[in-house]
Amino acid sequence: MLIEMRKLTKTYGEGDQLVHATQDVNLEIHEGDFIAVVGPSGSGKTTLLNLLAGLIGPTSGTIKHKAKEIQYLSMEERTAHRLENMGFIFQDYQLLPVLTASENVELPLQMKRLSQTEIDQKTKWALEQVGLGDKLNRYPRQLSGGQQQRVAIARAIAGRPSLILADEPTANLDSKTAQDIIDLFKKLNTEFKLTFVFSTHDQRLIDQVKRVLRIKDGQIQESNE
Amino acid sequence: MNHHKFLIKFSWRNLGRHPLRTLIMALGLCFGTGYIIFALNFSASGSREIVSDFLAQYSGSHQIVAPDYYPDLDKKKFNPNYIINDEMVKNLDYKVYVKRITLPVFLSGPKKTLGTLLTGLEPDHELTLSKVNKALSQGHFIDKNGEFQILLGEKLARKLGLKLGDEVAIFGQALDGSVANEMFKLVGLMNFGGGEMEENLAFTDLQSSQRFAVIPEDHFHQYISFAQFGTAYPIAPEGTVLVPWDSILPEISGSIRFIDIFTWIVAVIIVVVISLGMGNTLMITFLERQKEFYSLNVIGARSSWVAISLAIEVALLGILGIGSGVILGNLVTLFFHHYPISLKLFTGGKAIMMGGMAIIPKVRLWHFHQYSWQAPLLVFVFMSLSLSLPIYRIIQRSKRAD
Repeated sequence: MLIEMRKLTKTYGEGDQLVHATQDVNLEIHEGDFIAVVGPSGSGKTTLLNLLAGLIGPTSGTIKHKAKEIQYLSMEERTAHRLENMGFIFQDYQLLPVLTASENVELPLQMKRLSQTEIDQKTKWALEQVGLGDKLNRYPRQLSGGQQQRVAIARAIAGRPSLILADEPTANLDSKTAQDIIDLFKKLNTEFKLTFVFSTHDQRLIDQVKRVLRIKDGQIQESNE
Repeated sequence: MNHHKFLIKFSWRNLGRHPLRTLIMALGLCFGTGYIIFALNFSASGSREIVSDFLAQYSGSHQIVAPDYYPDLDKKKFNPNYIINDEMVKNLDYKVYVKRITLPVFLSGPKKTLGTLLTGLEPDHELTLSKVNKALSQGHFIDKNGEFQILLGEKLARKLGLKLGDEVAIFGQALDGSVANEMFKLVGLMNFGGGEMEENLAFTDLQSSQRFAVIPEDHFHQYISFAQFGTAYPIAPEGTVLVPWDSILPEISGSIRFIDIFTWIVAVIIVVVISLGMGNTLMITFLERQKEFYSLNVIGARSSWVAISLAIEVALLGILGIGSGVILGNLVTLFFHHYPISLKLFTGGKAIMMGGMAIIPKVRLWHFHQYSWQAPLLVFVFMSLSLSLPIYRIIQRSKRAD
């Protein structure tokens, strides 16, 4: 088992203002899973992703990633854990404008202090997987939205993490490009058994996912579609 | 090693995000550092030139005297009973030294009798080293073989009621305890720009002063150096002591120290202003990238990684701005080394009075090596201090999940 959440609760505010972003969530994620987290705005999708990423700690409950209870880790330890085990894809790509496509992909690998040979191999592999092997030296401003998201995906998968989290990855893309990105996710999931958990409103994406977590008022209902 | 290169490349390119802003900050650092180096060189060179000019007039850079000639720290008091001789100073280069005798005497003229100091000097040799004859306004300098000739300051002569060619009676105490008295002929008047030397000094030749005070021919009070200013002091010969100029003229060395300290205070104020301006501008630049720092944290950048990348960015900006400032400061210094600045510009054409003498120096700027690292270090330290808190706060904020 990759991720195990038990009675995970995250609250914000106090007294009358207390809000349960997640409440007594129990969840298991296995290697190779392809999971969509869906729900209306403010339902707790991003909170769930942030909890999975270790960006925030739970108010109560446990969250294990590869048997490591990440709620007990310090912020710095969680960052290091994220670097080693997770990739993150943002809705608005969040590429660094001063770095080229390949340098953006290199970035987390450089943070890991891998050898340059290893970095070059992994970067090349990741960019080839997303179909941008010929645009290594382009800056983000020289790429389309879809291409930028592909670079962001390459950045997330370059280190071959055990878990890839994506926060509404197709929200800023037109329908054709969004479909291309969905296809890419599926390909990476099928070919390399990469585990994906992503939040989305995109029905086309939801339709192509076997495991859907519907989140409402901090509670999760799972459906296999 | 490759990740260091990557960090440097990343930080360097970040400087190019706002080229105009970076240019303004770099220019601020450049002109600030350049000005500080110029100001410190100007202050130190000015002090050096003024003091060197002043000492070359009459005072010399150091004196060799008998150990008890100056009885205490106050070098204005001296005991003329303590003398030294040629044998004692034979190992010191006579080409850069003059012998002098200084005697407290009374001068009696038609109007009144006044106490003053009579200085005996070697006319020909003195004029090869000091510039005391520059002050001669009337008459002629003391003849090498002229006996009992005297030069007086214009003010002193006026008070005594003396004019050129008059005889003046001088009396005092001889070295053997007897009363010394002699008639001297006034051959020249001196104008020191109205300074105190004009009222307190009288000059005669060394031999006349020796005969007046019954001092043996090879004996004298002071052996005064006119070696180039800044030359290392020699070891005082046995039976003598070396008295440097700054202990003879403490008020002048004190003024120079004050000017140096004041220049440093101005330099620190400039640095603080530049640092605060830079800190504020960089804070804005960093705040604009707050979301990016958060994203970096999400993809696995530790706080230290972000902090180091920002520190490298600041360091590169510092190297660019401060480095060019060092070059600029030294180029300006070099320019004013070849084209000295006349201090008349600052005094409205008037002479500067120092130690009772009027001097009109030109300040030739000299390059003082220590300022080329002290000034940049000062700027860099203040710049780093002013940025450490903003960087810390930004990193703390970057860890927050929205």
